Amino acid sequence: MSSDAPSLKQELYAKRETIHPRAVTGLFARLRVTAVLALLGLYYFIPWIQWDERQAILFDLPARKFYIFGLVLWPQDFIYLSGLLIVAALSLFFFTAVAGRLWCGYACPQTVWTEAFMWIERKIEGDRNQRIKLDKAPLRHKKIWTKVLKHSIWILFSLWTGYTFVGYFTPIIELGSKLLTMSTGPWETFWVFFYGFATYGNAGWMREQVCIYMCPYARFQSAMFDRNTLIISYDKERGEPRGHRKRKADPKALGLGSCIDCKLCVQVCPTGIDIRDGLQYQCIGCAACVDVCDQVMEKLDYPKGLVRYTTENAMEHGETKLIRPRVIFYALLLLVIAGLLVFGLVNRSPVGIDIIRDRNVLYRITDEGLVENIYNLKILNKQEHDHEYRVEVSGIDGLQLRLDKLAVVKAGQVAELSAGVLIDPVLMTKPSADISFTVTALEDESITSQSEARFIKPR
Amino acid sequence: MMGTGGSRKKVLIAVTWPSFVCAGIFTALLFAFVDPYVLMDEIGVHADSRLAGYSLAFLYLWLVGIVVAAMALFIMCTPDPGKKEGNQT
Ligand code: SF4
Ligand code: SF4
Repeated sequence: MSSDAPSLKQELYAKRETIHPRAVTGLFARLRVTAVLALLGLYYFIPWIQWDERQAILFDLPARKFYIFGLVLWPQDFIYLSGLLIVAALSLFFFTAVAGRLWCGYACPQTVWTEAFMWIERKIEGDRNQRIKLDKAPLRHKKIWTKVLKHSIWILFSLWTGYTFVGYFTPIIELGSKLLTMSTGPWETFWVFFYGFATYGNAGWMREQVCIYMCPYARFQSAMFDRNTLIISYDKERGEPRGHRKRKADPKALGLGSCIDCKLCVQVCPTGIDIRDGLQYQCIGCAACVDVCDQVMEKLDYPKGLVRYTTENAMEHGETKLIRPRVIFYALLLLVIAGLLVFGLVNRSPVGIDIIRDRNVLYRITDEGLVENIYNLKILNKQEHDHEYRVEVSGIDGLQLRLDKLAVVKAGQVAELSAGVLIDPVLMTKPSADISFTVTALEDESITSQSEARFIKPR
Repeated sequence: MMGTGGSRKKVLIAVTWPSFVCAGIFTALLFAFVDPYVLMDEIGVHADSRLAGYSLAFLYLWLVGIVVAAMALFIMCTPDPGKKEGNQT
């Protein structure tokens, strides 16, 4: 343990150089921009979709229910939500095993917002060289204005992001009008600013450091990688020995490989690494180096793909196997859990019943000589309109039921009833037996649920 | 005691970030089973909205996490007196 201390210290002391990635164009850059636009569009648009006169997707924390279009989930449905999270995690494992860091390069919120922030930065401060020059320039009029403009736009964009985020948890239209009239609650305001600040900090300032120092996924993904996983790699065999040359020069005659050592791949890299040094955990698989190197190769009339998507096996002239035990395992697991989730959701009862025996009295004998057990029933109406339910009890012939009130439950509420179950002791042979309660909605027989309890009589 | 700007930032990350993630997870788990109104009643904190309950619980758990992480980091960064490397104390 203690031997780690100095290295940890060194890690903590290392100073970060600001990275100014150069803008890139090309196939993968286009793909990334498409993904970024689609995901940002979804993020900002989804809370505004309406469904049945309410927000279609709303994790209504103040009311403790989650709406996903027609589906309403209650805290009691926590299991489905966990299921959903497990499915999401497994999908990530699956895609990682097959396609490496595809998620990081194209879909991770960190990448998506960083791209957006960098786009704003480029529009205001210019590309890499101009930004480097600006950073070195003394703090004069123009520099101050450029920086103020950039940060103001970043901050506005971040606040809008924070507002949208809170809009997933409390109705966004109401929140908007409250914000306009400055009448939001203290916590709503707090979270809008908190999330806004986090966006500004992570996408504006931290950037690749989030991937390198903060992302747990970046650390444990190596466990999902194997020799057949899609990675971005530099073809050492073809590229080395690297070196400058005249455009028309014949590399063979000069004893050179295809890499002209232009370092463009390093300049475009958002995490500031050199892909030619081999696979590194800092590489987020954004393919910016692939795009830029392909352009270099094109200019020189060399074949493309000196830096390319490949697998370790393919690099070593082996065969890439897509279907392999690891992939099959993840796929099966994913299929099973997703299947269970869908099955559970489809068969999820719109009414729930919970039974607790009265702890104070085991049983009592009524004036008519019947044995009575008392239960507390909790009926949960998971639907969006009120219901009256019929409660029945079964398990032993001759059971009678006495409720203290009608089983009427408002939409999305829980009603508590006290239920007395009675029986003539001669009808019961054993000292105790299992009984079951059934609740059924009066206007719809298909809305029904059952729960078991224990009935006890004196010996 | 902490040196350059870069290092201070990394210490800040190590202390605040994992604790933030854990606080998020445990807040979600906690309130999947407990209504914040009920919880606040139990401990006698007055709050007029559930959002306040969620937020206070989250911030509290985060604070606990920060303290734990800071202590862990402090222990990790203390040089072993038995070793030659590191500061002589
Ligand atoms: S962009 Fe291509 S040619 Fe240029 S240094 Fe990188 S690998 Fe070599
Ligand atoms: S090495 Fe290439 S793929 Fe990896 S992060 Fe840098 S530019 Fe993106």
